[in-house]
Amino acid sequence: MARIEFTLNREPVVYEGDAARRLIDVIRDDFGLKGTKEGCGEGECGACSVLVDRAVVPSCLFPVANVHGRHVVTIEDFRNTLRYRALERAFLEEGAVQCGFCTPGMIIAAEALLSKDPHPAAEAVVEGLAGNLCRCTGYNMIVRAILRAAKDGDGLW
Amino acid sequence: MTDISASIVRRDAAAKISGRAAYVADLAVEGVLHARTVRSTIAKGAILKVDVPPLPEGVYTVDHSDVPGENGVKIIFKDMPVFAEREVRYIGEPILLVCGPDKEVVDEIARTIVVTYREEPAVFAWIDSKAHYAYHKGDSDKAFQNAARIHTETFETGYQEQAYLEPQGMVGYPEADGKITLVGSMQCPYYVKNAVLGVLACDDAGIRVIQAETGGAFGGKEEFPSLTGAQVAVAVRKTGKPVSLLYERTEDVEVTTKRHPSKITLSAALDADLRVIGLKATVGLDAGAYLGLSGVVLSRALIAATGAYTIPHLSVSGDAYRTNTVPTGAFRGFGAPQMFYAVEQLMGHLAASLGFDPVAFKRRHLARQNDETSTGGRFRDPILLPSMIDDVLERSDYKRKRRAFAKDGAWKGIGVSVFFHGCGFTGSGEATHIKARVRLEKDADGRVVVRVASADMGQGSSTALAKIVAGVLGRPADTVFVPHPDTDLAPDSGPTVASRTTMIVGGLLARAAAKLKEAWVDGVVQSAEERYVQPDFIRWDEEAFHGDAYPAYSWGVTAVEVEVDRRSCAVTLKGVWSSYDVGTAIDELLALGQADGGVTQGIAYGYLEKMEIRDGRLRQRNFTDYVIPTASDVGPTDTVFVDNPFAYGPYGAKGLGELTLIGGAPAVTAAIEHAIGRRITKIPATPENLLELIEHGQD
Amino acid sequence: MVADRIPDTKAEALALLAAGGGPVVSGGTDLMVKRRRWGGLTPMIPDKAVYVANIAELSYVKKTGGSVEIGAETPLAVLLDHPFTPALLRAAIRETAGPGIRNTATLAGNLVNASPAADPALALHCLSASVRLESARGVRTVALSDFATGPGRTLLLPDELLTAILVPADDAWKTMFVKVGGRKADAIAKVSFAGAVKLDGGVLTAFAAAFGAVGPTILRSFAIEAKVIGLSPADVRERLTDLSAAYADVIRPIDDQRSDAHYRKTVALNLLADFIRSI
Repeated sequence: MARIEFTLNREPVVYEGDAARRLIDVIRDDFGLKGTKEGCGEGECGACSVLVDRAVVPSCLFPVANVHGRHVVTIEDFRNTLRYRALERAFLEEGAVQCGFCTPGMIIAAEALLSKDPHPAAEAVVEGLAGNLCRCTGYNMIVRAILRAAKDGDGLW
Repeated sequence: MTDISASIVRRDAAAKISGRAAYVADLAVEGVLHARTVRSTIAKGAILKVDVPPLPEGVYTVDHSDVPGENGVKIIFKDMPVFAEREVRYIGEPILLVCGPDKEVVDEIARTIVVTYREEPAVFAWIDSKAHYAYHKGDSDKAFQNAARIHTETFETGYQEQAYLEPQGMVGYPEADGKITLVGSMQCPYYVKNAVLGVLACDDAGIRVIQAETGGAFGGKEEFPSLTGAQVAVAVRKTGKPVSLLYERTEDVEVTTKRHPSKITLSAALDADLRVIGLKATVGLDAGAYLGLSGVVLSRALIAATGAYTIPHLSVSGDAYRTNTVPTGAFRGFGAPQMFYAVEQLMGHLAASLGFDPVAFKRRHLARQNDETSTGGRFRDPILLPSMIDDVLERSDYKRKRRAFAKDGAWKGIGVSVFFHGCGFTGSGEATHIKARVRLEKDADGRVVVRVASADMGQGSSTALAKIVAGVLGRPADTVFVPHPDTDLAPDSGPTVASRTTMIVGGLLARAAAKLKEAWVDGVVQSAEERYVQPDFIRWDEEAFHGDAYPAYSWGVTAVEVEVDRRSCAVTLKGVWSSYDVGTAIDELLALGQADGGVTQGIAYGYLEKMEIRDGRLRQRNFTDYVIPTASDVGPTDTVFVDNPFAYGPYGAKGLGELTLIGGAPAVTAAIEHAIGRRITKIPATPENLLELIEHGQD
Repeated sequence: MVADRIPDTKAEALALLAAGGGPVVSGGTDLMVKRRRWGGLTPMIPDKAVYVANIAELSYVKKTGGSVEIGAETPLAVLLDHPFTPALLRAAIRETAGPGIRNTATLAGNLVNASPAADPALALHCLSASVRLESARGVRTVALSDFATGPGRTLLLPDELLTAILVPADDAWKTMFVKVGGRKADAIAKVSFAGAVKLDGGVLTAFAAAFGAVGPTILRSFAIEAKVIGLSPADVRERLTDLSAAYADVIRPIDDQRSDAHYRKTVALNLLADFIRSI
């Protein structure tokens, strides 16, 4: 039994339980944050992406022990930001959403990408999405949406 | 672009982006029992006994003995049991569920259950035909007797996994009145309902099915949820408690339906003008352990035997074989991708051996308006293929590349496919089997709710249908609502399959909307219903495979450019150019989304996605080993929709969803052939296969 | 120590291991998948596991003398951007998984997991890196070529912690890294190659060729490499056929769900030839 203190969506929280639990289960089951999805359970698809200290990570293979002392942000908090608004608008306008199961993870990956590189080239966006699978769109519309968010949201990142 | 095509914001997108959309795994159900499936570990054998350890209070096993009605899942037949009873026929076949409130306990029990089998020799060879169809047109024997030239080739295609991002899932719970409600990830709520009715032996009021937000389907959630729905319903009936059956990726890949592997032998008879005038086709599909939809898949494959060409003399036959492997089933394209791959390759190889450019050779054979179809029906509507081909060749710079690549020594290539998709159910299926009904409900404030069974699984049907209804009513689209289907509220407008939703269901809704508009009174609650009536011109003889197989055809042309790495034979997509005739695109952005996603799946089917089975066991069982494209794998896409309104479709719309996949595999393989100078007869054309072709293949 | 099994210093970690703790969990990207269970149940990782990803003193990159020293818990993403990261290692990391995994995974995990298909490990092998293994009993340094003994098996003892990777600086080296995976990104190597060569006065003073996913461990043949030292690039190119034949004798790949032996061997030798032609 481990006691793990971390920040979740800007709130300090304490987790008491098995240190080996997957972060995704803690987020979804203990904290009821269902916006983070499990698509493959082995770090291939990125649907479970969350931010840990602003970096995108697959929460399905992240032991909760490793968030000790760190800040976890899920889509439920990120959606309250202006950056999210810019991404949301661009995703809507570019038709980047179909079944939507990959989308929260895509948004988190996009945020991580743009916070490192606010004016990315198309190739950088493609590289930034390497860990996020989408089966519906063929990706080009997602890439266009992220480029558009970077442009329209200039100054936010 | 017509007005209707101007894009509106997708209805469901904001909820999905924000993570608020509730997929089945996101539903909180009080007191739920978690179900885990115990499955066969052998490919064929008799179940001698099942040893279940003593169960703690509140933990249940659910098996065939708990099925109150018939232990068979109605798909077309009821050949697949809900739970295996005396025998198992494939690795992964469900035997029982363990259900309990504590996953740790469920897992422990499921792993301790011992099933004893008497193993029997499994059949993996294609010898046990469970569906056989054949048809003829003209006089193919004579055509072959008089042929100036005959060319025969055999083509093989592999499995393809739908790989929707959201795994399968079904949740069920008992209602106070004894009714059982199922909520799940699915395409066809009424398929699930009808399957469960027989399994529970209950009446129509005994079961309610609701589609949850569905994270992709591509056919993979057409018939499979009927199985999980039946299992969950039986478990709810037995335990009296809510039950949740959620698959994880590996289980999903291992046991759910996939695209049929095929082996297709084609013989072409050419006349003295080097025109294909006769074709013999023999098609084999691997149905897996249960027939399921395989017969229907086979029939769509057979009907597509001539590809997008008119060939007067035909002899076509095919079989769906039962083997001791995981059942195959519906997948976007439904038999057509296999057949079009084979025909397009055949035409390309014929062109090469006769000294034609492949596109020029294909042009000589294009189907034209008023031509007879393969089954003796008629292509009644204009066919725009010649101008679509011109456009794709020009945008892709095909002619220059075709010459330049051959000379410059780099392994670069470009290939073009020409294809169609028959829209809607085959023949008179809409009239005889589906009998679709739709209803519009208007409240006093003028808000209109669309009651249909069509499921939006990501393709955007809720937006498209809202646009059609709003457009006909002449009211803002945001006053029209398309909720997820619920069998207690929506009439059976048929399954969400066969590229029929926009054309058929949308067409019925357009008529209902016209009725509602005419009767419209402000401030009053009103409704309007419509039911399917077959257009007079459709004549189809199901026994003889004769007549109009489809009410309409959508057409496509796709060019793909590749570069092949000389060291590793790895293929890089350099560009994809397409032109589609879907009648009218109901929403340009939605249509582009279908086009990009479909062609990506189709191309990946041709060169990337590999799934093999050995001794009845899949070798690629997860997303690490079953590789689908990432953003780095796709090429730039350039898509045009030509306007060619269909008189019977809403705003002229025809089918869209499946068409875009069909041309991918033949175009990419043609491009790879051009790049490496070898003939490909088997997909996926993986680097391993290309290496073998380069070492031993035929020019 | 902030939590029982989550030390924040190396000393605490070593003490836990000395007291019978373990296994060591680093980024977890391999272990959490290998030990996963049904239904989101806690992976089969013992309670006495020691989680070391949070030990700040094990996350660093520095230059010491002629080599680069990398703290074993430095995430791959940090190494991707760090100016001291050897070019060959950077090239390998760029092709490792996706951004999310790179933010989590560490070199320690990559090396202890001892997959013959690992990308960073291949680059480190080629660069003749060594690893520092520490325990309460002391410190030892082991050449990477000796460290992995089979898939998932290494010389690491239960009470030892892999604390640092020592890489001879590769500034003067000419290198090549090629990964052939099932797709262009986020893939496991079907076959991979890392080559490094140093030229001085028109002759090769060093030559290294490492092959991934062609055997139970990453493959390097010091015997074959020795034959090349002292030759001019033209001489080496001339002996390409002999060199290929020599490597063909030691490359023994397998068929599996990702590729087949013939392909792996052919492509491995193609990549070698490509490298030799580029010298």
